[in-house]
Amino acid sequence: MRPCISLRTRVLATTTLVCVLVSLGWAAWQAQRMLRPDAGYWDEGLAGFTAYVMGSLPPAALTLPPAAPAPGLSPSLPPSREQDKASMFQVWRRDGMLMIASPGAPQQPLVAIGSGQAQRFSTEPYAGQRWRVLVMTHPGGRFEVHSAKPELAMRNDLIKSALSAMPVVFVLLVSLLVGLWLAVGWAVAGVRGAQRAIERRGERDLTPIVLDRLPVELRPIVSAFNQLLGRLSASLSNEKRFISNAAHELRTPLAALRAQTQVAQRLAGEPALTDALGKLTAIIDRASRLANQLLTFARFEANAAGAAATEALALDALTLEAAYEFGELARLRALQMRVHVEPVQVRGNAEQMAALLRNLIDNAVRYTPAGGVVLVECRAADASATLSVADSGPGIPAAEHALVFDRFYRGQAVQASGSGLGLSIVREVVDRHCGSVRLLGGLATGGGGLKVEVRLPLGVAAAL
Amino acid sequence: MNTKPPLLLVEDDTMLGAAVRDGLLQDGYAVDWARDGAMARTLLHDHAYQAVLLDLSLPHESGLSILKGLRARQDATPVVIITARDAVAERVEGLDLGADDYLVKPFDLDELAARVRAVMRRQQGAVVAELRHGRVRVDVPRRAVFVEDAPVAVSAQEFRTLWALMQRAGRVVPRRELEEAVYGWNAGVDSNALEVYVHQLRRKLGAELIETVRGFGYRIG
Repeated sequence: MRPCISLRTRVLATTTLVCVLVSLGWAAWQAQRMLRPDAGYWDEGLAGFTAYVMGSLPPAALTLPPAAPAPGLSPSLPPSREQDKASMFQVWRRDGMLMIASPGAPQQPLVAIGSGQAQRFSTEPYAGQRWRVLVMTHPGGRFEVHSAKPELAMRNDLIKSALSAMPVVFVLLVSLLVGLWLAVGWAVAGVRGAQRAIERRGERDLTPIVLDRLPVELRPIVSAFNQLLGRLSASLSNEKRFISNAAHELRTPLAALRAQTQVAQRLAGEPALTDALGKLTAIIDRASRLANQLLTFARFEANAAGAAATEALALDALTLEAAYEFGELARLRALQMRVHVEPVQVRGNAEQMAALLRNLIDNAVRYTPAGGVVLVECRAADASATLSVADSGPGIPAAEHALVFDRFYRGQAVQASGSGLGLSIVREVVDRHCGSVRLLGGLATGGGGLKVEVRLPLGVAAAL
Repeated sequence: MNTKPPLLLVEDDTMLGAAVRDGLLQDGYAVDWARDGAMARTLLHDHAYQAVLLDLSLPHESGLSILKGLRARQDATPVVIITARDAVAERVEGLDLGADDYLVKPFDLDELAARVRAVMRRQQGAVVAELRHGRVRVDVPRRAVFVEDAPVAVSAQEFRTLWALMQRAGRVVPRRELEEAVYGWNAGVDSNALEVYVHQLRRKLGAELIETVRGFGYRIG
């Protein structure tokens, strides 16, 4: 695997490298420009100095008759410019007489007098070092100014000027890097925003990520991701449609089978046949129940995509509806079903909450023997809604309490036609509504029976 | 077999429809069976039925729109809707639209017969869209309650309780009858629902609106 280099490091390293290379290139180019013979910075400096010396010659020196000595004219013209300090000059008359010289200048010419050229550069050895020498002839042709500067001094000038530029370059580079550091951080914050937006979403949320506040560069990635979400969402909604159709297709024949069995039962007359058809009805009921529960689960899975809508639910009304749905069954089984509600609002999904209630009441009605009691309660207490269904049935041994919420778990001593799905549906709905569920003792004498108690947050938005 | 009053069964599934029809025939009812919405509309238009059994999941037309059409014509024929077990929203909407009771598939034929008997027994007169009593006005199509023209928010349960009492204004309504009107067939359940919703209604609409007749029921007016 290739090492993972951060964007920031890449940008900063590349920028530093480019800056250093450009600086070096610029320095090399400048040095080359400075060192160019005749037109370079050095030679021009020397030419400027020479012209300055020539322009500054006292008129007296220029008007002296040929061959006359030039007393008292030396020394003069102290070099005033910083870069000229290391320079020296001589003013020669064409006849070879030294008229003026800077202090420390030799009394002999460094190059031959009388070349006749207006301006000529050369490099000459003198006093143990190499000198750049310029000979400039006075327009009148009577004088030559010889000026010279050691190459070492010129090199020192170069290094000095390079060093004087260093702090500026350094400050520029550092500011650039700091600016880039911040800019990359800022740009990466856009990525972080997208990352958080993805992390924050629930596992069932397939809605597209909002592109508005993302940097333009990130949009292609996020919009590709959104397309993926879209395809996923489409396939999930296909699945949901399939499940919903399957539900209808499966339940209707079961309902027909049940009704037709009952028609046959009424016609039978013979007790054994009536009995057999009654058992058949019970079997059909069990199959229908299982089909319903499986479809409930399948819907949960399909709704894992966040399509389940949440709304304010009147838990008391849902409880009553679920209880009344089982009223007839309770009556047929000679059970006393009591319902006690208080007005309670929770937030959640109506279908899922109804599935929870149905499965709780269904279990109680199914497992409680004839003559027993089922008590359904819905109350508001200390910031939570409490739903409980208690019965006087056989209960569940404490050892199995942790297991009964598992799918298809069936108790050791179960006689009724349970599928082992009811309580796992309850647990699933409770989890989706940020609630809790526990098993307690029920209504049978001596604390027997079962009470399932569900607590849900009051009116708090659930993450479905 | 003495023939009881005619019922209309609206069910698209042939097998389920046949079984339910046979069961109702065994109970002595005359049954017309409509297999789709168009036929149901025609039959409802041409005949007076004692009750309608309406499956909500019809292929082309929702059972709810048939129900809506029926009530829009001021036809008060009792309607028992048949829905899938998990179609809670549909069921609630059906009751809000004026269905008298509901059954979830699969259902017991004896329970079906009992519920049909119950809705026919408590059948009300004409369908009205609005009722007034004193300062209180109830608007059924909008499911809204007003006190001196100011809207008051009530839950679906409170609305149904109030509506059932308003329809029977001036007489004492026994608890059982009121419960049936609000929840449909409810043998086998003993609940405090009426106390709760009557209490809520008094709190919202004024304590004097609903009178408790101890040990018997409630009365408006």
